[in-house]
Amino acid sequence: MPVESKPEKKLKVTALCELCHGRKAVMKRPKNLQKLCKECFYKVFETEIHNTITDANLFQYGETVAIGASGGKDSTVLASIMKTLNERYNYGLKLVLLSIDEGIVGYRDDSLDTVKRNKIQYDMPLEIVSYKELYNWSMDEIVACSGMRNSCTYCGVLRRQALDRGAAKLNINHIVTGHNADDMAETVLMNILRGDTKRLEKSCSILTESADSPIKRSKPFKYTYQKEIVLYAHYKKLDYFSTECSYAPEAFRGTTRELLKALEANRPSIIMDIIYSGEHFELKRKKQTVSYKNKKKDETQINADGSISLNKDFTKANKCEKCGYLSSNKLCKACVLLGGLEANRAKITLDTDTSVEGAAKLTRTLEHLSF
Amino acid sequence: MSDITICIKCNETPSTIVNRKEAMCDSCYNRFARGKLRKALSLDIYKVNSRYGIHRILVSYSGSKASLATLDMLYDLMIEQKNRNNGKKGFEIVVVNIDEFERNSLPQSMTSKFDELKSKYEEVSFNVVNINDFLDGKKLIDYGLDKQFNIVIKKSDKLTMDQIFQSIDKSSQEDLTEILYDNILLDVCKKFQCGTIMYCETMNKLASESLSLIIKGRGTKIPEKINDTTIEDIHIIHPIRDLYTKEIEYYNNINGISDLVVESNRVISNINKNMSVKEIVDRYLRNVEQSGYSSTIPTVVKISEKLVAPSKFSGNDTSKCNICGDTIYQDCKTWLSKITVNDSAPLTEEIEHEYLKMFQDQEINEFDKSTDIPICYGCMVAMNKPVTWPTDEDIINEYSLE
Ligand code: SF4
Ligand SMILES: [Zn+2]
Ligand SMILES: [Zn+2]
Ligand SMILES: [Zn+2]
Repeated sequence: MPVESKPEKKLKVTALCELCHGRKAVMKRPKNLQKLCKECFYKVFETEIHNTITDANLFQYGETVAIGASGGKDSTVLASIMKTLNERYNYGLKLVLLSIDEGIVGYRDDSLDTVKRNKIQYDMPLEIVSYKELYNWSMDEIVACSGMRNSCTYCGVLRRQALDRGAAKLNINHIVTGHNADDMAETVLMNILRGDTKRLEKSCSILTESADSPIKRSKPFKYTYQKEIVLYAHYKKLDYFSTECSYAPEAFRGTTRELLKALEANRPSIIMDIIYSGEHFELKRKKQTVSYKNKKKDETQINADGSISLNKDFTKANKCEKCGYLSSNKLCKACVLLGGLEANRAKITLDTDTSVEGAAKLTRTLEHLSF
Repeated sequence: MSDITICIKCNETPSTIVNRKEAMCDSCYNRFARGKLRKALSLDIYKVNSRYGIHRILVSYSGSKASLATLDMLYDLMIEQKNRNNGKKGFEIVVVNIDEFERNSLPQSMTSKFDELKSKYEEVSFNVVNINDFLDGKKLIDYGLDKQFNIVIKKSDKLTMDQIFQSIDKSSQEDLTEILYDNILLDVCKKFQCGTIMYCETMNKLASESLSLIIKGRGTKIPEKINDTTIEDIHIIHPIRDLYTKEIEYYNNINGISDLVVESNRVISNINKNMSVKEIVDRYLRNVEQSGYSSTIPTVVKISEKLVAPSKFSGNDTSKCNICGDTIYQDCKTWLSKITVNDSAPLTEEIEHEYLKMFQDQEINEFDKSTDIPICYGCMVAMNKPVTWPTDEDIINEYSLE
């Protein structure tokens, strides 16, 4: 290829960015297939997130906010954009990176290196909370013990509490996470497909506060397309870790994700369209009946999102008996789950010669090979 | 296999099918299936000698398996009423078919089946409605969306359904057809003085309908589309909502009516881009059912039946969509412009300004008027390309499009 630059050729109108009409379009915007130049893409991408934040009144001036950082693209872009917007619009936030080390060899150890670089790149303090330290179980050990099938269920419950504890330790009561519009839409569909009446109405809430957590969580990327996050990271040359966790997501969620992908290919707006529908969901109120027929008096229900339905006086004893963490039950959900595992642990460690990590890794490799 | 199982319902006849874990004989199966329809007709208005006189039921008849089975079950009920009441009946059946012969590539036109149907279902009136007749004499308007999500309109030069659908994508066609059909049926229902419109949707169809509405941004329509309701004093019911498509097929088989079905033999593409939203949803539901998540369909219908009109927007002014008639709970333009920004980054170079000038010189605007006609979110989505729609004379006057 010749290296010398040709005299600049005049662009056709159709080759121009559809917003500024002054620069060459370099991309098709995934959300609406608009042809845009890089500058205009940055502008709309960032402004939309700013709009989402201000419209929902997410932050208070002077607040310290933890960014749930995994080193993946969503949370890396989140850290970058939070820094940008905080400076541009003077939110007055103190930003901290909060990472969880689930103990997944070959995945989390590498992605944590990315977070450590992000700490320097974005000049933010970093706190890492590890499952192993907190629960004396790493995800690799859990999978070795109970198999791949429920890995994300365990992981989800443990992460929730780990993030809470990490934030509490730093005296922070607000965590922002990188959940994006695709995740939202997927949740809406999942809740409908599973008939989850408890969670349906909240499918799209941008801010969640649950009964057994003093920490609020919010999702500034609620309306941001996954594909645009990837493009933003790419154009801005952000340093992120792109390997996915090797423990497969739950099968049914997988089918929902495929449905969403197929639909998005058919009509790019459907992610927003589903969220729009989801924001209007309201279920018929059940008549209040005072009957506890099938419930023991003190029983409390743990909702799948980790929050607790309060059937009893919340003011009394709301600490987990085992670990002392906030819980409206005798045991917190993490302790309930881990309790079930303890029994198996002895067996596993006796049965294997290799290290537990090795065993889990082997299982993973084998399961991947079988595809 | 061991010895023959006896039907658990009548305890006499050998069973012919195991359905929902119950072994049944054909006649008990009929009672089971028809019972579902009869449950939906338990109101007094459908009974003999009711003080309401003889009620007229419009059956929305597409020729599909489900519409045929519904007609058959309904006819069976009518005959039974007559036999038990010295020839008196509580209702009359008006079958209405919206002509889809060409648009949906049916193997034969519905009218060609009518003779057979008429001889089997005596006393039923069979009618075909032509969509273009419905459009005839109505003013058609082209609706579009500008970049700021304003509704822009102009008088349309289109006349027929085919012309209308030329320029929009498959999902929008499907979406708008449904709305148009609902409108036509309501219109015909009044003309024929019917008090009930019967939609022949199985549980499978309702599940797919509900998911599709959510996906198209029409979630707020679910309470009215999935549940039985009343619109302008007309009862809208779905009497086979508790039956699966495969149960309907079996019903048609044992009653020897399968030959009367007229269904599209159009091959559905398997490429996402060439499919409609509903076709993708249907494929998905078939797949999850086959992968063993058999409860998905009833689950979706059940939770959809529990959805109601949202109350959290009660402070807002609500309005009705000019295209589909759905209630608009919040300003869609505001919602959309918040999450889809259309401002450009400032131009810096000289050449960039030149390009902008060049663009502005060439820009043509085919729409002449920006309006505040209320259009719901779902219809805005369908308007990813301008949409032509029949419109009241009032609107035309109000926005003086002449
Ligand atoms: S994919 Fe599942 S196991 Fe892996 S990190 Fe995420 S939640 Fe944990
Ligand atoms: Zn531009
Ligand atoms: Zn505990
Ligand atoms: Zn509408």
